[in-house]
Amino acid sequence: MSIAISGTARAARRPKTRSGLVRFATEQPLGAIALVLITLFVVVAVLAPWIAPYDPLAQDRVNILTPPGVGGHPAGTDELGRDVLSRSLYGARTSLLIAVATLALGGLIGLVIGVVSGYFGGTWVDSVLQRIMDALMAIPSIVLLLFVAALLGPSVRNTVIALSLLVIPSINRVARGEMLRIREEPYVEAARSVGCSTPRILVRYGLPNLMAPLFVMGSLLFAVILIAESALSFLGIGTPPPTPSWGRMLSEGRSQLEIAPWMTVVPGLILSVSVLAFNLLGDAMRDFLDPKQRR
Amino acid sequence: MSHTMLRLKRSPGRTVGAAVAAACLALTAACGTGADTSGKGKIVEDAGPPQDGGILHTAATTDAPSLDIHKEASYMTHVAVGTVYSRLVAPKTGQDVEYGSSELEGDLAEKWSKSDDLKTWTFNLRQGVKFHDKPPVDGRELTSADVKCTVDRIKSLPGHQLGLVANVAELETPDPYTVVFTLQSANTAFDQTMANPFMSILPCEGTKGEFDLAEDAIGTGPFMLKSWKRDQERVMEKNPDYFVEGLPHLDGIQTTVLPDAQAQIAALRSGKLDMISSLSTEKRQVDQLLNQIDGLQLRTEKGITQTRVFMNAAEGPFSKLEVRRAVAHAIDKEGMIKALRSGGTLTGPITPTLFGALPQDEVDELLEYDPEKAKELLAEAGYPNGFEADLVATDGYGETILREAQWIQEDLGKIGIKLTIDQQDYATYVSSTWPETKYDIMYGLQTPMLTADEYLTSEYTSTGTRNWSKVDDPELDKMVAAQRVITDEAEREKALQDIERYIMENVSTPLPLYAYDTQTLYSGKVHDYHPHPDYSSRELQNMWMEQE
Amino acid sequence: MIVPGATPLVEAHGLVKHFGDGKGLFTPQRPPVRAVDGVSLTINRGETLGLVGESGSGKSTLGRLILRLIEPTSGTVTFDGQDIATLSKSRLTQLRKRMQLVFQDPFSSFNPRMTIAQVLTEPMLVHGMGDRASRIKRAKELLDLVGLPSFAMERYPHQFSGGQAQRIGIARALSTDPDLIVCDEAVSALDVSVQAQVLNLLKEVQRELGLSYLFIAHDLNVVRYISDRVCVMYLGKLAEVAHADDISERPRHPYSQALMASIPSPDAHHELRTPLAGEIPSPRRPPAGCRFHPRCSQRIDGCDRDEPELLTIGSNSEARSVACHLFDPTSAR
Repeated sequence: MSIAISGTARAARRPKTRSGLVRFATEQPLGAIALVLITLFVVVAVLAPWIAPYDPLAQDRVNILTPPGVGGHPAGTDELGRDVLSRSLYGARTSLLIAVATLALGGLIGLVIGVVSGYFGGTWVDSVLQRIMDALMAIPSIVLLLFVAALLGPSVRNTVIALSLLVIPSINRVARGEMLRIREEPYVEAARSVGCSTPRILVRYGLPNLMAPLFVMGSLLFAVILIAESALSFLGIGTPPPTPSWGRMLSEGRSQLEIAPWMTVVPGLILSVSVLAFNLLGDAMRDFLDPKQRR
Repeated sequence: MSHTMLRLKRSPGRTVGAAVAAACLALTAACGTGADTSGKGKIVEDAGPPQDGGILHTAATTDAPSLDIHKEASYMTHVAVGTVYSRLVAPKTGQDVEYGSSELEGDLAEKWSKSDDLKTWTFNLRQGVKFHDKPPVDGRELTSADVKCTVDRIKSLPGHQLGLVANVAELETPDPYTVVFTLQSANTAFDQTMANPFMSILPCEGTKGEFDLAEDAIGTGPFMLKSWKRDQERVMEKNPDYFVEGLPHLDGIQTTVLPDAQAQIAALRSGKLDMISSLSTEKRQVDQLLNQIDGLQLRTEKGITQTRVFMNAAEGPFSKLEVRRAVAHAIDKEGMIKALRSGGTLTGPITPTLFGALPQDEVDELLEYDPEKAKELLAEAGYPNGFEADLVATDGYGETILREAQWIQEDLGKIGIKLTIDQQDYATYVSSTWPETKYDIMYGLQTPMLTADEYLTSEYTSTGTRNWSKVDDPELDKMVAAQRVITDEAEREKALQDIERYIMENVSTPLPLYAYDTQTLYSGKVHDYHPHPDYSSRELQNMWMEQE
Repeated sequence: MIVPGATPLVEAHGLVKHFGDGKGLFTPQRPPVRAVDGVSLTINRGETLGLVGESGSGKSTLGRLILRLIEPTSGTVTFDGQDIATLSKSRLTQLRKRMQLVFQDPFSSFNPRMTIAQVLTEPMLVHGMGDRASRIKRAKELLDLVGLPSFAMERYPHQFSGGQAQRIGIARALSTDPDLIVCDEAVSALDVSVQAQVLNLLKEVQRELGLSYLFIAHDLNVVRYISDRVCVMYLGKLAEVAHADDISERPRHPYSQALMASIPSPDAHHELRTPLAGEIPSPRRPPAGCRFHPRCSQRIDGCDRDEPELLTIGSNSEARSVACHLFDPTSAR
């Protein structure tokens, strides 16, 4: 008693397909450009030790505050003779490291809180967890960031902790909202009727269906983290010296703005483009995954 | 004494020409005026007779935490209220006075004398000196009673100034205008001690608590404190009854608290400030400003603030002398000065401008940049492959200190000492890490002290009030105590030099690197500004501004 | 195939479910939705019990009460002699093996991110049945049983048509070898031609495996085709319970009659009965007395005051239950 599979199904497509990427590129050209830029960013960050012309900490004391092109430094040197281009490239590395760590830490915490709250929405579990989130969100993010970072002192680890606090409420909001929606889906009821345990439902039914909006949020948050880390480092409470970080470089270049503008312009430009790219990608993904455009 | 060093040198000393002339002298060749050839920044010396009037607008990077000069150790306090008070004697200032000179003139005292055994000192006060007309003092005349009140208060409170009068056994006031100090042990330079800004004379109403010394300052100085908005601004106005005829010229001084160096520069540009000497102002930036602002004057003073590498002599890897000596030779100090400062001089524990300092070439040799030698010393100490440590530094002194810390990190890295920079906020640094020696190695500044003895006694003796590197050398203690009683000047100088040499060879912490030149920029309207390293700014009584 | 004389598989007594009964602090004080308001029924082994009613009648709620996917406000449900309300969580999970649910919309009842293989093996996995290899084997067998090729295992739900997806849903329901399957509008979303196929599949499977079904639908035509007995439900209460043939040929309750009348029939012999007027009232405010009385064309005095009880009338093969004053010998005429 077998029945042939209908014609549409014969087209054997998987949900995340190569053609999905092509479709993304054609529907969201800006997003595609952004994706290319971000890939470039990641490549540079990962390969910095191999493509940077100099050690970012090496002080070329013969060439201090030299303009681009002089003394073999394509983007000039800073006030300790360090190569600005190399430091900018390594800055991508620092930023990537911090952003990934922050998204991992803050994202994980936010995800757990959001998913649990969403699934148990309306009960005391949800109320308690969300009140904590509300308290966190009530503090203006800048103030919170400065307070925590200044309290902990400048170091990469502490910067990640401080920035995670920014990330947790945003991820929580997305995860919880989606979970509240997913909870009402028939397939969750089906899972319960089959006998699936709550943890199983959260992990196998909740998480996989959250991924799309989380990616969008993640991309936008990446941009936020880049800026926030730069702000902290600029104020001297983010990454400690002599770590090459875009924020620190902007700060160090500030007092030399008229004499050596390249110290600020080069990292500033790269930072701006990176932030823009992540924002564009997030927006493009959000539009692309809009359920109204789905089947 | 002082903890903060942000507003470093408001008191430039020499004119540019004189500084260069001194340098030329050191090189034996006789030079011309040596002012910078572009003519920019030239100090206008001959602008005619002084004019009365005008308000001087200055900036401070940090405000005084309080105005109480005894309870508050910060040198910011003296900067804030130095012009309000007078001392018995004070350093001479003026166009013909060498910057950093220790020549004294009477301030409240008309004349003073010492006994042959150097144990009894008599000061004869001027008559008719009036306190500022502010309640509860209300402009009454100053008498010897006020001197006694002040010294009694000093003795009752802890602090750097206690060390200054520790030697005073008795203070007598036989009449309202005579003060007699009887010392426990002879001191050739007791008058120098009395010239210290910590010896400002307070009114008895203040010492007795009739008004709050932390919030208000009432003295006999050239300027009166009109208002103080903490962390915002300080306003001084001319003391109409000042006991020096015809002074001060200025109608008042207004000091705005502007922590950001760039903001100060912007204010100078727009004419809102008449004078700045912010720590982070750099040679290149100064050159740029000189090009941009018409008539701007530049005063470069030979360094008197020491940059220091502090090392913990009691525990940790730096407790070994060879390691500390290695550090001394591993750092390229000349390179630092050239790259990061506008000028400077290598220095030992006694700043070259002070009496008793070693000759410059000997200092240069003892601090010679020799990485190979440094590596040998390190191996001798048992660290042939180096070691790791944290270098403490604070951002409270400004960007330049952090840059220098990174320079040092690189230099020491080259001989195998791998440092990680531990950047701390100023409050923690100054109230905890430094005084409690919570570091292995630390880089920072030391407020200039005014005599060799001050440096030696407070920092290098085992019981010193500022011995925060845990120096413990009984031989050194003896040497320092001994020099205090030498009356013959030449002999004393030699004794001090011997001590300095001893410290550099056998103690080496705190390790001064250099005293950097500072730069003060001020508008073309300002004249007759002859500062003294003493940070009380008494010389402002002579300053005048061109009126439009 | 009904096993005569055996104890019923499911017995429900006086099931009541009210939603939103104002217990929460911030719930507005409105009368609760009385979705199920006192229903008792039995499902025999091997039997298909049809449950028919308009939307809003509470039939879906009743189905879920029987599976204990929702907690009843009051009333009991016994499954194979055990009171399922008193079971501990772990015992209840074990019980789930034996009763399954087939949904109305097959696509939304599957996790879009799971392959068919995962969908079919998950219930077995959750209940610890066999090992990976045997589960996969059984999944393929199930696919075969419902008439789908085995390469469907790697596909995703959205790649199938409605009818095929519903077959998969049935396969999933069968995977734990249950005794009872509740079909909640299982064919309502399908094209008419496909409906017949799926219904036939259900019948065939029942024959082969000896299952019981609770078949919930709003279309009486479909229900009587597949059911042995039929319950007619109105506004939270049962109006009539009878054999499928009896319901079709001789509906007693005015509501059942109206439902039958609304089925388009080519048979011109049937008289046109009075069609159904008006709309189903809100379950928050059911009419007083007999809930159907405002729309009933055969209203008599007393229908607006007293609620009729579900009484058994007739005997043996003609036995049925009706809740209507017309058939209540004790009520006044």
